[in-house]
Amino acid sequence: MNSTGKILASLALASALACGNESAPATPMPTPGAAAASLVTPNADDGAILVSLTGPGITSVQSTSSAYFAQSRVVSASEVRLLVVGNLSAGMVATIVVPDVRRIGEYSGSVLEVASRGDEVRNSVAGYAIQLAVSQ
Amino acid sequence: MTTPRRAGVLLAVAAILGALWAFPVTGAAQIPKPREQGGRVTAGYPPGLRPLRAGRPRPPAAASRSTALATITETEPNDAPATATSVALGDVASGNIDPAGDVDYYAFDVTVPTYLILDVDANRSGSPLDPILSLYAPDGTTELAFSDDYNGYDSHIEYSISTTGRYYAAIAGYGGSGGSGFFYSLQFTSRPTGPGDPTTLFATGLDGPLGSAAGPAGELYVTDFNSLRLLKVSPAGAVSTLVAFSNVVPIHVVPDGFGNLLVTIEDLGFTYGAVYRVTPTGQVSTFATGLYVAAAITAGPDGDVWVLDTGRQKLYRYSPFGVLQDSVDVAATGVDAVDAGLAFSPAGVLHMSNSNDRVYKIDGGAPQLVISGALYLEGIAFDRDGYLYVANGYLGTVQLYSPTYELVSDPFAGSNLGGPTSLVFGRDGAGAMTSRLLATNYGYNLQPPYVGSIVEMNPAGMRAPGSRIGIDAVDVAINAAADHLLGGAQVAPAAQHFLDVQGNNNGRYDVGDFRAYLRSKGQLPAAAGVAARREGP
Repeated sequence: MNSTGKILASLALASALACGNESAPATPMPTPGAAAASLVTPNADDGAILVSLTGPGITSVQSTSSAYFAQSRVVSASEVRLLVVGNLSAGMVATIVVPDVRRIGEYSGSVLEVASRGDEVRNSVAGYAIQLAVSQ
Repeated sequence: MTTPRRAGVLLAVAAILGALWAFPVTGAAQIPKPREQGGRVTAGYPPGLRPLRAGRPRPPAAASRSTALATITETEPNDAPATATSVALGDVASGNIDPAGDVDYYAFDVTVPTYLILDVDANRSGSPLDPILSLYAPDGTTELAFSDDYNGYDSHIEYSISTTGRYYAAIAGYGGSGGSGFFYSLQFTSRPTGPGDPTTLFATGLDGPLGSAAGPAGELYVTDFNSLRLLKVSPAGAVSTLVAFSNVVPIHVVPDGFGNLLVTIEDLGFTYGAVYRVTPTGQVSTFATGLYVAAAITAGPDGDVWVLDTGRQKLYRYSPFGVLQDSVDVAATGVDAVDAGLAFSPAGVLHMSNSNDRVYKIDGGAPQLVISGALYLEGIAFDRDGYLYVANGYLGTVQLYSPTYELVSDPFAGSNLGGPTSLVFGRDGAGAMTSRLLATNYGYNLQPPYVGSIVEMNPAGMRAPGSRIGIDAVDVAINAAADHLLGGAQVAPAAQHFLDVQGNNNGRYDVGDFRAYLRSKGQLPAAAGVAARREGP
């Protein structure tokens, strides 16, 4: 194929690709971001909680308060556990970084264990929950 | 040679000792004594500061322990052993100290074993006489025991006689006082020796032993109040120096959970107290500071360390890492001397002798009276069944109480003991508790070689091994302790146990324990650090 032929072929391919792109649905780019993990508690004297956060690709967990001690560990590709200690109260306890905030619905959290500020572990975690929401 | 520095130390220690015990001088029947606060000297504190020891409370008159066989009236002249009025055990002698400077001697025969009791009734019956009383050996000159103010101003001696013979008691007026109407009665009684008698010499040649602790290999550690040393005593009784302090006085000692010793110390003026950590090789570091008069010290079943501050009359609780956790006000107990004792029962309840006439348990964050006894209750020690041994350094006895505080043996032992006295159960070469109960003798009313000694109770009279003091602690990294809970690498079972007992002690390591551990290491966020613990005051 001479050079003229090569040029024509390239144009034809470009035209075909252009036409194909117009007809296929657009694939959204992932939007990395942060989500707030908030504690729902029936008690006013929580002193420590152990939390499980599940969802794809949580890359980081950070405490939202310097008044809290927090340490996390990636348990698997879809689970991170978080330990938070302090004079805890209802509301945001941590921020998690996820690869795509538009998929926040795929994430969930649960409270595994709670202790009071007097160091007593609670017999039940009934009434406790972790709510996740995209940070504004 | 006594250097100026050494002399200064000795002066300071002498002043402290005056506050500590107001020891009578051997042969002091005619030697004037300090007459401040009922015969007890306060330490040389600047005005406004709390004295190391206030005057001891005066107990009610002791109940008569036996019925008198006969009433003997003294026969003058009886001013020397050779002319002593003869009496027998069970008699009550009556007489007068008249004129001033008069001394009345009594002679009586004793066969061993005999636990001798001499009790003067004078001032408390209205006599102007302030008696002083001495017990002399069969040679008539060796003073075995001395007493001044015991029942009010009246005198009282209890002494375990170990050699059959003719003994002498001498009564006089304090400072040579006497005259018409200075009457008295002197009761000579006895009672059986205790199951812990006779005690036997374990170590001798110590200068001023005060506190004691059992090491993990059968050795003992003893604070020597006079020589400013922490001593190590081998299982065979050989004494060596672990630490020679230069500018502080070691008071009491306890093993920590990490293989070290914790020693309460005071500066030479008794104005500042602290707790030092001493490694097995004698390296010294600071565990806690800011105390006033750091006295008794012990460790609990959770590893926490309790220190009695007799200056502030508070018990301070520290984590095994030296972080102050909380405190208990014990001012109501009247504790005021460094010879008070601390010990945990096997059930984990802290007990404290007030160095006077009572023992308390610390329950619900406050002291509760459990034992009332004779003056100078000092060292205390539990066996594994909860039986409590209480030393009376003034009487030179050890009493045994049941777990419900009933008096089981009085005395349990009464030979070769002289306070201030601490009690400690020994451990064997593997660290296990034994039934060997040892007592340190500072040496009140004792003769060599028992002055500055350690004696062991008769093993045949011991009922059970001692209760373990403290626990084996584990210094777990915080991130490792957290990672365990997060599903990561698991810490060793011994560490899990330690973390649990440091926390809620519910049998497993959990998030509550981790919170407690952060507090124990001083890492709990400040905003959360004020949360009261379950067992806090």
